[in-house]
Amino acid sequence: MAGVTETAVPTGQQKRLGHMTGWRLALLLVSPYLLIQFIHEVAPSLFPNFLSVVNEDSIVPFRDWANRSLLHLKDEDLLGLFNFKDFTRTVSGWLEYPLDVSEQLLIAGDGPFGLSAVPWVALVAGFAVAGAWLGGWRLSVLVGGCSLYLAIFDVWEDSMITLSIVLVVAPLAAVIGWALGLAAAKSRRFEALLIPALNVMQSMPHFSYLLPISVFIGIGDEAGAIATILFAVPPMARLTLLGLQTVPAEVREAGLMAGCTRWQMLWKVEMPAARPQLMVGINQVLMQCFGMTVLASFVGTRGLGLPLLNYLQSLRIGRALEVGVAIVLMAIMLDRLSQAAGSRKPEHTDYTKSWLQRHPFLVAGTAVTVGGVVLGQLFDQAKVLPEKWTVSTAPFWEEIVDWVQLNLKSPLGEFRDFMILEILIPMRNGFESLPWLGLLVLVAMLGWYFGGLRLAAIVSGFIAYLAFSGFWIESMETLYLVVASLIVSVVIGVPVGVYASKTDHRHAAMQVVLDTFQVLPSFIYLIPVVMLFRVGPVAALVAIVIYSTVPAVRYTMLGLRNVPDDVVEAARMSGCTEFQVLRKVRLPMAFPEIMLGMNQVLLFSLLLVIIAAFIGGIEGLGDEILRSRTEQALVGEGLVAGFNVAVIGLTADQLITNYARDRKAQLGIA
Amino acid sequence: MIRSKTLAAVLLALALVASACGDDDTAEPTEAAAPAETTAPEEPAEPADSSDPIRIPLHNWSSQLVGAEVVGGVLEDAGFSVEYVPSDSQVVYQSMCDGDIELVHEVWEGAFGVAFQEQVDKGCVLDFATHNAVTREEWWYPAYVEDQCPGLPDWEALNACASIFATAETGDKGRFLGGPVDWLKGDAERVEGLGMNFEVVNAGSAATLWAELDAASVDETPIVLFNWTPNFIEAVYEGSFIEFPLFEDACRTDPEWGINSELTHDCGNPADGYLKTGVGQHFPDKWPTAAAIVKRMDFTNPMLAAMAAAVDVDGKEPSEAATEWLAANEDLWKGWISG
Repeated sequence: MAGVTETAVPTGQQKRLGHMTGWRLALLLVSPYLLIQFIHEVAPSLFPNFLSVVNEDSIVPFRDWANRSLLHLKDEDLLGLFNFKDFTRTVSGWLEYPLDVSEQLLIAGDGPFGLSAVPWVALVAGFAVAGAWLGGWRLSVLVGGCSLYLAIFDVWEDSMITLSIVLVVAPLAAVIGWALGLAAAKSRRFEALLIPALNVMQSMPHFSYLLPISVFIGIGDEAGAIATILFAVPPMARLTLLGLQTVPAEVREAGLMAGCTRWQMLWKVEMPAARPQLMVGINQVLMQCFGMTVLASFVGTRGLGLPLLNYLQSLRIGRALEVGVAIVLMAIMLDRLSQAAGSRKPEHTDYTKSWLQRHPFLVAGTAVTVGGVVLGQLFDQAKVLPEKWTVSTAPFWEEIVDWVQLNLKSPLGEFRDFMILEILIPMRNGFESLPWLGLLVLVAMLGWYFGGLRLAAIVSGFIAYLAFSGFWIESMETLYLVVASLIVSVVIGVPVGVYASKTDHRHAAMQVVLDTFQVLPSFIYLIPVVMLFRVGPVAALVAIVIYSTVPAVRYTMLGLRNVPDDVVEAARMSGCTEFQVLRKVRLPMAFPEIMLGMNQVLLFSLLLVIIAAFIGGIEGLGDEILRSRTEQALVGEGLVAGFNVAVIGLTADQLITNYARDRKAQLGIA
Repeated sequence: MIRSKTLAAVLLALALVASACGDDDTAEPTEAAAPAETTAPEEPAEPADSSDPIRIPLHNWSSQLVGAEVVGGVLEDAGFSVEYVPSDSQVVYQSMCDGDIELVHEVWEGAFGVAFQEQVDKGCVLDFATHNAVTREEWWYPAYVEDQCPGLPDWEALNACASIFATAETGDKGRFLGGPVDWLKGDAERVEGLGMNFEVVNAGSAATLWAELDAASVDETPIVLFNWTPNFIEAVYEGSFIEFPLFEDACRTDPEWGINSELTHDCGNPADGYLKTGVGQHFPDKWPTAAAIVKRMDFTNPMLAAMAAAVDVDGKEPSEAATEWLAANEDLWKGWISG
């Protein structure tokens, strides 16, 4: 923690431990933990066993409570008024009509308006025109090309089903998220309720929701739609809140002086001012919606999810990849269109021109749609692309997989054995033998330093919950793999981020790579990873790292690019070399942002460590959650294990956010 | 703020009213969420069957995907409407209990027996028909392992060459790649019961089992893993099941039984597990004619293997394979309809 710019304003941390820095501070913070660990190791007889692992009898029966509340919600009337299950099923039933209409328009035909499905030529051309309208010819080529991919790679029908669901779900999620964010921005009390709820929602693993969703919503498109909304709302709500909170006071005052009413203030002043954050919110909603495609198929949602899983099951990796890419391209397509729409500037209308000249895109859009529909009526090929015209690159990918297996297997095998024997197994044993009291004390000290007694109480409460939930060992087995992935992701992600932040060109290219890896269904790389590293922790680690390096790179770039130019300039003037500028100025300035990236890395790894249970060979919370799908009696276990995952995430989140806030204030870049 | 609160309150009230109305209309709670068209009046004409679509789940393995569309195709030919719903193959039994799914035509004893039996015991799912096909789930090895480990498929021979299956994490013990933990196969108990020099590593899904097998056979790495029949793997890789002491019920419950008098599980899995059709409890009442047809449907091992191979070996799409199957076996399935 080299001091970059000393500041006169004492932050919380400085108030608590004055000017202590470096290793002395670190030692002070970890010494209580070291003491406990020391007694535990050296004199185990002095260390009561129940402070190490809570014994079976003292476990708080969270699982039974979860089970009983679920049964109650399912079978009995809530407060003697209404049945919760009927309520949720009715609400989800409302989604059925829009989902049907959307699907019939895009693919199924026979819609409520007696229209047949839009032919693929019309849709591709329509997208191209929309691209040209919103963002010029580049966007038009991009969007048209993406939608053409769907047709010629023979994934049209399933893609349209997925698209039809997202077109209903994404606006809903965006509106709900926006409304929640707005409400939180206007009411402190609501914010205090909303933020923890969002945190839990975002860090509960998807699979612990499976059985509850199938009970309360049923299975089908609506179930997947609701699950998707649950996961897409939090980022939108968060970013809306952030956007509204960071509207500069001067802007608000200008609005007041102009005599805005509250309504005008909101729509004409605050919303436009918060637009950058709102646009990121929309981007995240779309990424989440498409990212849920595969998981939604577990609860009956049709579309690209099921074929993808089926291709993987029969090891047709190339084909699975093509389906995965289809999901990515649709996400990119809708994202770029909505971003372009959001950043459009108002146009000056020139009334001397004819109506035709004033609305070229409206005319072109109508023309290609009508033309496409007519073509579809005349030629079947225009309606659905005949299979013999479609292509597949699957053989190519399969050859690559074969080649890698044949040629890289033994070096990779040695790497795998080294990782398992020298790193993962010792690390795992260390985490498993960690006494819960030790971890609690460590986390409490960090909490106190970063945020005072209140934070210390919160985070040590979290650890106590883990200890008494009955899944302590499982939680540690999960935590060790997450920490290992975190380290690897940082080691890879930060340098890549440093490299990519150098020029605008690299930055733009890296954004595409990051979006791709974030949306590409992680199931796709589970199988190749097993082929290379066999079932076990190394395969899981690699799969997690592929996914969780994304935020490490993203936030490093963000942090470095946000370092004020004048600071960098000052460093150069005082004769720093480029490397010194990076090491002494840019990295320390970007450090809080990078820490927030670490937080995201951790949350991403927690989501994936559960999905990695599909690889197998790793025990822990993921296994418990997968096992809980078999019997209703185990639903409680699944929920509690899922909540443990969330709590691990929340603990890190609390510590890191508090640290980053303080540190940013210290650096004067809040 | 006030405005949004009012709006929220109105929405909530609407939802409550709607859910209460749902209650009054129907006997079963599940009907509340049923599609709008299902409330169309049932025709009292000759088939007393409901005109609601019969919902059949799609799972993520090929024989099931083809078979589901075969079952659906037969029912459609008999005049019923059918809807396919993708679903998780464990959670589907809960959905069938809740009335969201009508029938599952591939209930494997080994993989889904536990989840299925739980709902049957509750009474909301019926154990409706048993196929002619028998299923076997057992330790299995690809043919090339025979050269590296003489005496196979005997289990004692396997145990004698445990070391060739060893990996970094299992040390000097052999590594057995088991099925997912939620299939509850009792492999670890068997290793203990038979005193085998093996360690069980559980794969997380069927797909990862095949991925390992695929990778191992590239350079003929010794491997012994969990496998079952009927299965497309038979068409792609040659291999055999390990022969363990024959299964009897007592082996699982009575420690005295078998070669180890102190522990249970000192035997193999049953060599003839069932393959059943399960239906929701209201299915036979709501669709009596369809239920009779489903009861007559009978799949054999070769039929299932062929359906799987059409997709996994020949690379056809499941619906394409189902259409071809229906065209080639018309006499058979017409017989299911006419009875």
